[in-house]
Amino acid sequence: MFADFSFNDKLMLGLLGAILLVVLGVVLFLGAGLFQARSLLRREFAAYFVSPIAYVVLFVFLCATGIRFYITLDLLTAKGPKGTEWPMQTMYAETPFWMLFLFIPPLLTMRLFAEERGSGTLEMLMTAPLRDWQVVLCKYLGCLAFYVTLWLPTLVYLPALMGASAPTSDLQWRTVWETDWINVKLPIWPQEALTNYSLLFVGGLAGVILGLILLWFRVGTTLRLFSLLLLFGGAAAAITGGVLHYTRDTAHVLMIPVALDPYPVLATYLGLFLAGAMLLALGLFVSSLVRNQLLAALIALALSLVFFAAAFWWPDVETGPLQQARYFFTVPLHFERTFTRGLIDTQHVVLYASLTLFCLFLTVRSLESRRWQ
Amino acid sequence: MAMTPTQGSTARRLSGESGVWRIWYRLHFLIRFLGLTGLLVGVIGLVLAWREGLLATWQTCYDTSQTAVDDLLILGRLKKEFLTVYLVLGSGLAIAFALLIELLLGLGALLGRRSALGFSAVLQIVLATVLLIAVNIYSVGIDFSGLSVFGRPIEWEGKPIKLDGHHARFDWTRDHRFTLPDDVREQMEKLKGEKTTIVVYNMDKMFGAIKDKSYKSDYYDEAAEKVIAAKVKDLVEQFGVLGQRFEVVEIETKKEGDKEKLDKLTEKSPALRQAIDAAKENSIFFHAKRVVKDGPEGKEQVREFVQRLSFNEFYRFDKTASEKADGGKGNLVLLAQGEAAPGSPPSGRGIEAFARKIFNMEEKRPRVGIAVVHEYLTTRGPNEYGLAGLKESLTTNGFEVRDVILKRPGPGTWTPVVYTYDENKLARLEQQLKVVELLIVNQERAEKEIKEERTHWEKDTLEVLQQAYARELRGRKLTEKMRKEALEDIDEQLASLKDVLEKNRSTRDTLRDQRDKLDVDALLEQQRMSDLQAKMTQLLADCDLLIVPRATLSNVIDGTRNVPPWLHGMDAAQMAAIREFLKAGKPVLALFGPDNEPPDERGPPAGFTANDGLEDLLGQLGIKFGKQTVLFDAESEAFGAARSGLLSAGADVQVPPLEFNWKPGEGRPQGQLAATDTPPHPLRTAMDLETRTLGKNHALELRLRHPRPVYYKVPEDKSSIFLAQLSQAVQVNPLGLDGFATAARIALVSENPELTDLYRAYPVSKQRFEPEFLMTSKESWNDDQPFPTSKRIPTYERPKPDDPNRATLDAKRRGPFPIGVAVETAPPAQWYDAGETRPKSMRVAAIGEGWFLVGTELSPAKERLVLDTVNWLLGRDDALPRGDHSWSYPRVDLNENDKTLWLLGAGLGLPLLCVYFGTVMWLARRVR
Repeated sequence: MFADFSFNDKLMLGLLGAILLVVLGVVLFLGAGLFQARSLLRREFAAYFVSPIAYVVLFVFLCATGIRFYITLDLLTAKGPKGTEWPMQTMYAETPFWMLFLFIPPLLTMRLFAEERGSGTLEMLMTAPLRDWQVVLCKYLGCLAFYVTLWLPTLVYLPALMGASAPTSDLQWRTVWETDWINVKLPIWPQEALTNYSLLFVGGLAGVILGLILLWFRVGTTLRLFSLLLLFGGAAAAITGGVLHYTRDTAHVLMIPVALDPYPVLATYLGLFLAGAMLLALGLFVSSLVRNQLLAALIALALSLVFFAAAFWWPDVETGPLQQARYFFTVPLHFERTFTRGLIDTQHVVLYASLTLFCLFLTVRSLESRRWQ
Repeated sequence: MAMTPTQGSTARRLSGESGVWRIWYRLHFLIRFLGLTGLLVGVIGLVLAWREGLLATWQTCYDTSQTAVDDLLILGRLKKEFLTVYLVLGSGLAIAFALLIELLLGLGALLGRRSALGFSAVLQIVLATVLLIAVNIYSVGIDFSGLSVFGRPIEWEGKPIKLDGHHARFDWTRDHRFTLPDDVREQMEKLKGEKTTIVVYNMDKMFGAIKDKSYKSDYYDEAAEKVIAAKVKDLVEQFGVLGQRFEVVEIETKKEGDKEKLDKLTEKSPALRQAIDAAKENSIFFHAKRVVKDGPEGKEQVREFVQRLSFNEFYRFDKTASEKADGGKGNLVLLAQGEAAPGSPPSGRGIEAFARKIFNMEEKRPRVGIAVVHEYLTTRGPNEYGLAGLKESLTTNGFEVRDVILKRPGPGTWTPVVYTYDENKLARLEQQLKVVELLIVNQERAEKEIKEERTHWEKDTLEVLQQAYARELRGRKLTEKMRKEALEDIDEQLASLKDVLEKNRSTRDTLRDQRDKLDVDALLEQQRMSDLQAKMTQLLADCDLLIVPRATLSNVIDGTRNVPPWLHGMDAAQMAAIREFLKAGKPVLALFGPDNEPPDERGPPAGFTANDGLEDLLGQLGIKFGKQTVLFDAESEAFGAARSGLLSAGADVQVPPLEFNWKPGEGRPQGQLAATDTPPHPLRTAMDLETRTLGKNHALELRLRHPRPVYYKVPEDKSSIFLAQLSQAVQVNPLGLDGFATAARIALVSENPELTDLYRAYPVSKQRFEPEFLMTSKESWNDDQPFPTSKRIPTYERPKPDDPNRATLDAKRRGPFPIGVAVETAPPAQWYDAGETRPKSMRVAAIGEGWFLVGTELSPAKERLVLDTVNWLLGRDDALPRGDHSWSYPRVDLNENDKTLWLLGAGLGLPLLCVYFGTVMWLARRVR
């Protein structure tokens, strides 16, 4: 198989394999650590919903996105020469949206460590049989999960924004049981839709659903592990199978015809996830430094401004090194020029990912410093 | 238990530790206070410095700071005007001092406590920071070229610091809208590193000159302007990713401060300024400074290159389609322009039009020659006869124009000559210079004499003067008062003479300047050439295209400006030169008006010829000019009014506009059917777009009065043999075989290989498009006697059955008539001797009217017609408007009810749902 490969190719493949192994090892290590600290992770996530802050943030956030939705839908159904070429750009790349968004990560992160410090519970937490990085990761992932939850309701806007029609399917339905009240139908899987890809897709989806159901109940460690495996394995299978099924097969299990290009939506949500992850990590680090929640929020807000301020400056000349630097740091510009238009530029991804890791690392060091100070 | 530093100091403070610590704490507070105050003052100082313009450049900062410090330290002066500088520098010192102390304390703390752990943590953080920065620099890259600090460029070993980024852009859009075509990418790669400035110049004129007259800008235009400007930025960004260095500047003429921005931008770029000032409509300018070897003795020098692309040449705004779009609701419809490279699929995003300008920054301006028989008919001629408007339109759109004058009027007849306007101008300038120089010599001599006379009057005694001017004094005694009056009189004379002399000297300098700007050596050489053919061949060799305008009938009713057709006739030597030009495969645009003359005219006088053979020459390429004049029904009424005898009655008639939508094969007489399977000519499609895209209330109309029909007719020598064999082979009537499908011909040849040579020689097979591109209205007829007389008013009369012209192209009939033909064909083989290179194809166009380009300004429709035709003739098909790829805003099909439901449900319902869940949770938590 590798007979045609040159020495360099083999070397590169070997290197790639080694990197993959290391990454896999790290992921497994982190996964194991997280599993060990799952109670803390659950507590951190649930804490948002037992306090009013989650609902206030959700309400304000959905009001703001609702206004953006109104503006965007108005443009998409406008008369005359008005309109928007990129609906996601109108939704999530305009200055008013970012003016509000700027406040959300600090609000979500301000309590993470500052509250614990202020109330003195941090010492208790630090005495738990957990490593510092486990504490940090649990708090961060809990917060990130809430951030994702924050965005989930906005998916409701998509059918209208994409001009989606009623779903169709190449499956045929056969009635298996019919009464005056009930009509039970089962799908007949046509031969052309019965492919490895469609089976992988549907099987993956079933795995995700089953995994979620199992996670709901209090079960033993083995079953818990199995449910997680179902959830993540199913998600991976569903994504892979779905992409292959919809790009390679002729007949499809389910189709939702859309008038507008759906891929910018994917890119936008990916960008929002990554940018949010970065800002939350920054907020988490600030929260680990101070004991006052308000101060933590204010400092995080001030630091976040580095990634937002330049969006409110419109220079005469839009090129040159200074403008490149401005573009590199300014998150709203990334969304305006790339994510919301279906573009993924790795320089933004690298910035968000590297800063996230850096801030998490600093947070761990910050917690650790309490031990040797 | 170990104490933390804070705990330690607090404990010490509480325990009332020694006075040394107390002093230190206070001193430390003072240092911190100093640093913070320095920060505050520094910010204020910087704001003031910015207001005073001290931060304009690094150099200004540096120079001002140095002067201020020198004044203070060396001269011991504290100048008031440098207060801001002192504030900034002083605060900087305070901050630096405070930071230094904090750093030392930090180091002390680090080294003094748990140093191993602390040092390890600091080292890790430093390493992580370095890694963060390195990863991001590797990803983004850095480029300091062009940047300088204190006037010095940021360089490493003499080269600008530049590190290419290693990032990739993934285009997830469904139709890969942000991915450049492969051929464009390849060409862009070659230009890597070149710097180009792109000026998006929005002068609020979407359609050039039209707006000043009848066209009013509305929100459709504004929307189009914004979208096109945004699309320019998008493309620039895509090109920039490939390494091309771009600087994009947006200028809006109506925006406050943009004039200053433009002045600053063009301060050192006069060519760019000139091009911007000449722009008639919203345009994109591409500007680059490149080193070229065209200086004196082939030395290198920096030259400016400017290319212009109007908004409409990038994305054509189709206002008519915009108004009608989405079932009449309206949208913005833009048509992507530009033609893809052969073999490449079109991008449909205007990339080709945009990229062509960048790739051809150094492109030579094509030169258009205009051959006319009189100086009055040149581009410098008077309004009634000259082509000044044509020249302005061509030069504004990137062409050079050269007039070639073919006759010099003399007593009784006109002598054939060949000269350019510049050549004539040189002779005229030389004459004027001679006269002015002679005047100056005489006036200088007079000035010298008057000055001598003045000296005489000033210095000589009264007695001497009395004797010298005895005759003028006529016995009167000369007094001092008279001497004074005489001196005043002389001074006045001198002043007056001085004024005249200055004016003449200034005129002389201007004339010399004008002469120096001409290529005097070349012009003198041209003047010396006496061989007409050689001279004309030489003049035409520099031209990429030749326009031959022959304006004839202007108004058949009042006869004003009617020019007899024979006046335009050329000499045999001139004809030979034109034939040479055509033989070289170069394009010609013939604008020939009808050659009908009033019945009382007796034909050409001696020295003129009725047929110089140019029409026959074009006939060999397939262009056949009709013998009649096309008259319109609207003119019949005017002929009647003219009969009333009033001087100007009926002279002004508005004829119907030209058509651009007609059925295939229309416009030809019965029995002369044309091809029906070929697509419309690109010029016709272009003109159709040009005329209809302005919106329903502003159709751009092209009206030509008194044109003559122009047809495409397959040259006899080749077609007859082929047609005979073809008709024999497929057993069809040869009548109408011009319209025989190309596919059928190809099939026939594939079945009969012996016809291959004939097929290859058959020019029709090479006509990719229907040759006719201009058509009159149906409300017209052709007449070979279009002049109304007292005995006859021109009206349409059905030809008699025995009319010899019946079923020929010259048959009398009702319209429509084709009056414009453009063909791409191989030049006839009989033009070439053995061994001569025969071009594979050439382009020729003819329009049956010669007056429409006359005037100081061309109407927008005429300007577009001539520009499109010239571009097509020069093979610049990509510059023609096209409408095959449109862009408009995406729309979602929702009725008002559905839209309201969505807005209420998703926009308002979701936040309310949150309130609901929040309240439920709050209530649940209150349950004990």
